Amino acid sequence: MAYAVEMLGITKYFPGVVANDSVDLKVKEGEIHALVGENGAGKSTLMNALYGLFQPDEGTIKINGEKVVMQSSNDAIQRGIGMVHQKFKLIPSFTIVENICLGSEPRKNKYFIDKKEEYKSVVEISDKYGLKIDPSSKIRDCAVGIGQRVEILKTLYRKANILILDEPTSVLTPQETDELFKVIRNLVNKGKTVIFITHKLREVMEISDTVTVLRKGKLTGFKPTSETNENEIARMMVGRDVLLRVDKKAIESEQKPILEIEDLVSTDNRGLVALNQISFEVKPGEILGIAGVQGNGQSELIETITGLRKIERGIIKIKSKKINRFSPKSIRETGISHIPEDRVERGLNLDATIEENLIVTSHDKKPFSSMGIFDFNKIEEYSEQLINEYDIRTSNSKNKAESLSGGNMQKIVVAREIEEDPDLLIAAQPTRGVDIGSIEFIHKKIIEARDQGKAVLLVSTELDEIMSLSDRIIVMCEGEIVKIIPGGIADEEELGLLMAGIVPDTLQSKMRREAK
Amino acid sequence: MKEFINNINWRPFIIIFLSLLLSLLIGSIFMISSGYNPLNVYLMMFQGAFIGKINIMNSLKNATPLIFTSMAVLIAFRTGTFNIGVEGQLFMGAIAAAWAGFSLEGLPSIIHIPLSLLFAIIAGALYAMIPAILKFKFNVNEIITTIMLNSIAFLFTSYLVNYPLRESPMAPQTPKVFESARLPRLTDSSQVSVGIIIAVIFAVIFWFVFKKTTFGFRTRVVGEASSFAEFSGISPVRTAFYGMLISGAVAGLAGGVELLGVHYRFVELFPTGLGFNGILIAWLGKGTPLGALFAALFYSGIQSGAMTVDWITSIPRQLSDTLLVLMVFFIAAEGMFDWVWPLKKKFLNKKDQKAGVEKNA
Repeated sequence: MAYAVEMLGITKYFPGVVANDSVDLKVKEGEIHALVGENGAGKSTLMNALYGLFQPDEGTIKINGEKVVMQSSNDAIQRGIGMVHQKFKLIPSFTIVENICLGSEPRKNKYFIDKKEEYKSVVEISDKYGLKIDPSSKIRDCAVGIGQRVEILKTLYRKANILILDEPTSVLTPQETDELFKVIRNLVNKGKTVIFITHKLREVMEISDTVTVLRKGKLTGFKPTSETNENEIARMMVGRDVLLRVDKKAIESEQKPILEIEDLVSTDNRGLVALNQISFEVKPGEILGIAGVQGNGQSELIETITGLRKIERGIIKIKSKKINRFSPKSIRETGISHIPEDRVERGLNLDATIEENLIVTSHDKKPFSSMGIFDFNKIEEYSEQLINEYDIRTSNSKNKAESLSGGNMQKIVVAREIEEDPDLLIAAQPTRGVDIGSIEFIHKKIIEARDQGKAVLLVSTELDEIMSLSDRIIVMCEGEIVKIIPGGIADEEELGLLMAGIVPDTLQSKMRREAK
Repeated sequence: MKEFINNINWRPFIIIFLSLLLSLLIGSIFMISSGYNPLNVYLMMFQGAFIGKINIMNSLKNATPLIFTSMAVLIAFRTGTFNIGVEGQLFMGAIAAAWAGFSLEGLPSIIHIPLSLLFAIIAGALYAMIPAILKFKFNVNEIITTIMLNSIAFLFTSYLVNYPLRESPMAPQTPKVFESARLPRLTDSSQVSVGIIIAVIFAVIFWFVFKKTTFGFRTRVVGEASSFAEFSGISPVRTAFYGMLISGAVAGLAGGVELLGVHYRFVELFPTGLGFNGILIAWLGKGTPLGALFAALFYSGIQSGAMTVDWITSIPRQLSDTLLVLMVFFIAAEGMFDWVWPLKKKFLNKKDQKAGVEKNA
């Protein structure tokens, strides 16, 4: 069978790194090809080269057997390559049709857009590939899954035959992911070729025909998916054996809760109710996981507990002490530390050095400063120690945080917050955009904190993470707690339904459903 | 030593040098069109600025208020606030120092001078508190309010010297401050006072605060990453509020030192532009206290040089302002140099890559 894409010996230098080191990628026509690797392994570099965003320093690219040099993404689009980025590039106030046709609208004449033709062609494509949408609704009213469909339609409208999907499932619920997989299979049946970038091994096994693995810019694996397994792929990604499940001891005795929340109500940035009478508690030595599709009140919940958002009603207690009107600083001082979901905005100051980022929350305390003047030797000593202990890969503790990869940035945040020695550790999306090796490490650290008797509140949209770490799981939907379930017995399907706000009546009804 | 030189980031220096060169080039167009040889004029300017005791003293006199005002701009800017109101706060400080200087009689200098300066500091800080409260309590844009408050300060001080504080019907000005309130002069032949020493000390203090103290660290964190600061337990509002107060206090001090050191009385035509030029000089100094110190000295040099040129030729003294504005313009547009010099940049990158690759291997 012919190759749709052949990238041979691709090498790309960036200042100080070899992002791709003579990498080969061979994608057969009509297959689903998974491209996997840790963050910084060079997946994006390779795909950006294929999409014409820059040219490789060495190597050749062949599309459908023809050698090409692509100067820009326009060249790539001309040659039938379409890319769906991880972050959607859609205009919220435009309708779906307008977004799809943007920039290449059919015209009546030089000056006017042919709206009817526009609508017709979008409906045609959406029917042909089974991508159901409501063409005239606006993007801002659509769910994330729909946004993704629109992005796919955009590439199809531009007559793409080779689709690159960059981590498409990272924003989806399990059900939406199933939907997406159906769409992808449909596309392939209709003769399209799909390159699927991911770091979720289960998805590789489920959807792909062939898998290419990259590690540190080098090709480490190229196999038909049927001839490999999750463990082997993980080993090719990381370069050593990886523990895919987390080992942990069972929870200890009943103790007084560290965090108590009663009837908590608060609003989101638009002033709409984001948390509707939430009540729960977290005990020492327990990891409480909060599952839910992003944007269902989890962010607001954490911001409210940490004092970054106003409480409308309800009570928050730490160690039986009410902290409703405390400032973020005093809340930290009562023994809460917080790994925020947005490490770039909240978790780090990218312009500051690694040292500064490590000590910021205790910069005004001894030994880092006294009488308002820093002791830079102590700071350096402490930072070197944490850099070692948390395996933050950098040449110098005085490098800027922005020079690090996502995983190493996150390790700075994790190191700082865990070293605060809190009673309650709040970890929000602690491993988002982090490579497998670092994920394993961060999980280990969170479990360690729990085993030391700290209470942990874990918020994550990754079900695997919630299920493997949590002692108890709260499922949130639209600002309310749908259900609280013990961690051990949760299964993915049930969680998925709960996340969508559907409560299976009893276990029996579920079994009946299965029997059918 | 070689490593030390390699580690210096030359880019800012190259940019400042190129900006200076370009400004001088553009300035020479004006001179050629007026029929002068630019090289002669620039030589004249240089002599007028830095050669001879009188010229040097004159440059130092001009630099004194600018060092203060650029520090005032810097501290607010560091917290992410634009204090365009330095000018107005300086006026309030000057008039307060004048009042303390001519109405408190019989104090020894050792008390009278610090007390008058304290009045200036408080007046400046209080005047900066208005936009600070409006911004941090009611979220009113500080750029608009400080511009408005500048006009109010001009008109208010003008009213004071015309009516309540007017010395005589002859001219709109306050009485002279008592001898005991005047800052000692460094020489008999020029107006430069110990104010320049206070100014340099202040620049060094600012450098220390920015570099070594927790407060300096907080102002930077708040300015660079506000939500990160809030998350880490540093209150952006409180820090920026203090930043604005200090900014106003230093602006007021600038006015006080200028009045007690140079003019001895507040006249209706008190020099304007010290605050605005402070903004430009903060830029020219690349946002650091020591950078601003040198930029202020450099600019006041050009200023006195341009004065000399004005006396000898028919080129107006505004030449110095033109050159300053051009330089700041080029520095602000530094990206331009990358565009002018793409080959150089490419070459540098290649070298970095190779070095980096070898290190990795």
